[in-house]
Amino acid sequence: MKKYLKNTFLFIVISLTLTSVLFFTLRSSVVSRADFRISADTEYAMFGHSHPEHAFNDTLISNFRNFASSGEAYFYTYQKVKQILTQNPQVQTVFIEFSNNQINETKDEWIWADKYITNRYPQFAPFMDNQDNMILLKNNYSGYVNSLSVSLRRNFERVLKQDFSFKDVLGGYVYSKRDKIDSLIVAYREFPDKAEHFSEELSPINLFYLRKCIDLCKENNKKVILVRTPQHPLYAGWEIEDQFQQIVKNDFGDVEFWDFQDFKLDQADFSDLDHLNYQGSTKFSIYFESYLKENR
Amino acid sequence: MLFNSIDFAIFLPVVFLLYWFAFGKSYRAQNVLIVLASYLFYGWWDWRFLGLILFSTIVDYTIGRNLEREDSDSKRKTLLWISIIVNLGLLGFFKYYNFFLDNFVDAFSFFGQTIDAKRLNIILPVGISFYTFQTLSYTIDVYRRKLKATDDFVVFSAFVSFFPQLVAGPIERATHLLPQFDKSRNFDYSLAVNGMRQILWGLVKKVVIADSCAEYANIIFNNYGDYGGSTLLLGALFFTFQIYGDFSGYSDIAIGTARLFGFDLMQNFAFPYFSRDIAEFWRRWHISLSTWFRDYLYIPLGGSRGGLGMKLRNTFIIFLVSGFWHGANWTFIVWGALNAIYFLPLLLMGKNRANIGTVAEGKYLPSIEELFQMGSTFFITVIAWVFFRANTMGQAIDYLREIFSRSTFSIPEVRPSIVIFLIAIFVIIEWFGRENKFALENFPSSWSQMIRWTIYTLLLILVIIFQGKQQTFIYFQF
Repeated sequence: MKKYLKNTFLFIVISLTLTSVLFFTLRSSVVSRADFRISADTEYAMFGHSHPEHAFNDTLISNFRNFASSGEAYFYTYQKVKQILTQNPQVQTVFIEFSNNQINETKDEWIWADKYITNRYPQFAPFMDNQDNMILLKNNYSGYVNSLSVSLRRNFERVLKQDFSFKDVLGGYVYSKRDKIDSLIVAYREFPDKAEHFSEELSPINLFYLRKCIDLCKENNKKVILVRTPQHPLYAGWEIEDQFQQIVKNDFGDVEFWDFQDFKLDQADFSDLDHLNYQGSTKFSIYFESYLKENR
Repeated sequence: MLFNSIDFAIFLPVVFLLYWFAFGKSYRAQNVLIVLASYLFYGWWDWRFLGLILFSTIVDYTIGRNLEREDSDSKRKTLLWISIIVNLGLLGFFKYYNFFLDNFVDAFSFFGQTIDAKRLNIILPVGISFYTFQTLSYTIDVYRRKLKATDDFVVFSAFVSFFPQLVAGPIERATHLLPQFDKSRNFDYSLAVNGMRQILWGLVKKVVIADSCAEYANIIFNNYGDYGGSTLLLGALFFTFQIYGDFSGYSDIAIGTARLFGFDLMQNFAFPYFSRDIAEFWRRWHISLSTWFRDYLYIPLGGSRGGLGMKLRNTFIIFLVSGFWHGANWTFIVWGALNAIYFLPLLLMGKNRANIGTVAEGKYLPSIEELFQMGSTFFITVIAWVFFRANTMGQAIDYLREIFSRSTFSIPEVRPSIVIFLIAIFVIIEWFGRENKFALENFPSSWSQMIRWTIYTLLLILVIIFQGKQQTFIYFQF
């Protein structure tokens, strides 16, 4: 038995040591060669989740680049902002979308729930620090361990293919033809008990990382502006509007906040209750371009 | 708890150390630990269904004891039927209730009658098909006086719930496994090392091969309308290796884990894709289920005795029931029927036992004839897997129609070169290890410890690298 335990222990230690060496070697190789460079004329960068992803058509806004990505919590946005700012000094203004659902407790789940962590973590793992890793480990250890493996493999593939471009994880505008607002309104009226509701529980980690994004921009002498894209009047997030306004005022009062809730849109401009479709995004982006020129 | 999860990586060494050190002085104490650990292992998914296992255990333990004491044939038969009805009743309710209901409603609507029947939102308890068959084997064997009923409830509970094989087999026979709980187990270094090696190989099969193949098989099967025949054929091939890697990998981990605790479980897979005909395939694929059906269904039905008609009937019954065992869907039944049809020519020509031994035994390479036999058996197996994987009969038929179209002679749209490379390496290793119980059993025995350890370490690193795509084991749903 002693021999068995000794050999098993030794084997596991050797394997884990070699895996760790491989992990850190690949990681440092990726970090040192990671390419987050974007076009030299990009002055404005937009970050956030699916709301801005569907709202800002960056082909219609000058010197503007949309980096928003569906289901992205601020935890991952922070990693993205960090790399974009480091490698792109031409970016002068950072827009971060801040809407009602960003304060909701479910957004913390977007950081570590299985389907998010295994997808997002490997994208930015090489750039995360101990604090970031500990948050994930503490909240979903098995998901974290799995994601470490995915990240190891992803880095291995990058080194093998000598492909260090991160363009595929940067996000961007999504052209949506979807128009299901009528059916949603019918469903909302006929089955009010099945409508989405927002609890008043907050997402402290998500909001903490929004603060980190803001501080990072300020440290880099970049202008940072919080933006709220237009939402439909029946959007469930309005239930927590008072709470949202309190947070904007109390926690992020030091940051400019551009709120576009009063921007006039037709029913057909929405793809659902909280996203614009291509018609809505076209109208909104053209307006945003002019608004930006007036307020730059 | 999944075998390829971090939870199991903690659970296994803790139980192992407790088993040999804290509980090592008495095999009865070890049995208690096994029951507790097994219930924890199962409860990790859904503790509510622990009651179901406990219920099955109590029913079959009690019936077993009564069968032992009872001399009257009619009473013994009644007891056996109670066990069969309770076990298959539970299985039928959880697994087949909605299937029968839907088909009942469809049948009536075909004749113009509308029936308003409500489907139930039933959660299928993990592994119910496996432990139900295992407990049934106990009562049937006690009824047949092949086995003495145990009077130790802990021993019986351990037999029913033994965590390595509780949720996906191998489906052990009471005659083989139960007596092992009733005697002391001694730690054997070489057996334990062999067990570790089999666990490692099982993990490679599951994590590296099955999960990698699953990624592409899922993409192709879920979007089959978008692809041409060559891609669909590739998708079917990926599923073929996925299901083998997944299920035989699970069995390897189960057998290896059991060995660490001093138990011997039956071999469940014997390199089935190197079979030269479909009969050989079925002697090598899911052996514990095939032999269960052989012993408890095929032989009682008359087996191969009697006339040709009876042989054909029994063969079809076995394959159809086997298909239905896998799931409440017509696709599984057709999969079973298709295999029966594959089997028929061999049965009619009396060649169903033509290939008993290992292919190209003692040789590096097969002959041209063997290669052709293996290739054709493999091909018809791949075709049958399409029914197994498809969600509906319509999907399976459309999928196969495209495979047998001109588009199969085009370059596939999906070409994951790394996965194809991994499969090729895997097949080579399996080929060279095919005369053993699992590919790595004796594969590097003549090499120095240094080389062996290097190979093991590389395999473990490979498992760690591929671990992240963790997919649940396919056979859990059965």
